[in-house]
Amino acid sequence: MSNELFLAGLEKRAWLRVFEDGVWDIEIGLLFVSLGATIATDWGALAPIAAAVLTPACLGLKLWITAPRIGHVRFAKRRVRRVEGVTWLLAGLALLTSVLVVVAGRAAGSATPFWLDWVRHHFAAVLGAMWGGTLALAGGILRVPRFCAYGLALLVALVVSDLTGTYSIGSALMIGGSPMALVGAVLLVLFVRRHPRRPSEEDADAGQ
Amino acid sequence: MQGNREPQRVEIDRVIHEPARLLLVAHLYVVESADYVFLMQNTDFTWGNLSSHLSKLEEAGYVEIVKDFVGRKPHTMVKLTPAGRQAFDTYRRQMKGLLADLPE
Repeated sequence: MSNELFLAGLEKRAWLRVFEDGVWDIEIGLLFVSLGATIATDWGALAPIAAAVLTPACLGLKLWITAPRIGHVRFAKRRVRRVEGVTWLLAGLALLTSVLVVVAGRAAGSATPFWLDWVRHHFAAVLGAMWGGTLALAGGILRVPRFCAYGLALLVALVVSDLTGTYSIGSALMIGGSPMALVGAVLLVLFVRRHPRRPSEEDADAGQ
Repeated sequence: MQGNREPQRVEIDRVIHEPARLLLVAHLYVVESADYVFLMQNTDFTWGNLSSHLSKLEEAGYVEIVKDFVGRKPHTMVKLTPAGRQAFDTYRRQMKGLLADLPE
């Protein structure tokens, strides 16, 4: 059994290294911050602009900073299926959020069911449960524990916003997203220090 | 006098048994494919060292080396062939059996 554990350890280490650079933490964190700022400032274009800028920027970080240090790897189907599962989860969450926003936004009337009224009055908490729960679940599926912590932080920020009314949903998202982005930035700095750039194939060919 | 049982000869695969190549094959076994930078990062081999060992593995039919380009930059991915995976499985079984037979 011990060499199976050794091999499983090799694979797990390679997998976790994909998340070691903190790039996805930065992107997810800044997306939440920008969404919060969009709601708080009422500038509707902010979140889409942020998404349009952040996604290629983070892919660029992966290509120019991460890959030259730890290389490219294609994982076995078992791991790939987990990533696909998380993708479907996020797609489902986006759909559910859209439906909820539309349904809860409809004018209240005598025919409005009790649960819909409750959702409308506790919208921040419901968002917190959905988004925080999804982030935590994604962390569990991908086996990246800090994503579970991020999910919990987001849930707490939104629930506190809902229960106390101390700050708005926009502020709650910024409060929930900021630690993710900060942790990601710290991880990126540590990653760059820990993993020197490896010679590329071009460098190796030139040296021959 | 002990029993007349002759010790069984175990034919260890010397291509895989070499420590550097064993490390390479173990890393390739747990993934679908990987590039040179990944292998260098996990084994601390130099580029020349890595190339040399991968060539031997390729000669034995255990790895497949696929040269491609990412933009204009050359990019090489390495994967274990089915024969390579089978050879590694056989090697693991042999070593397990060998070590299990040793007296305490």
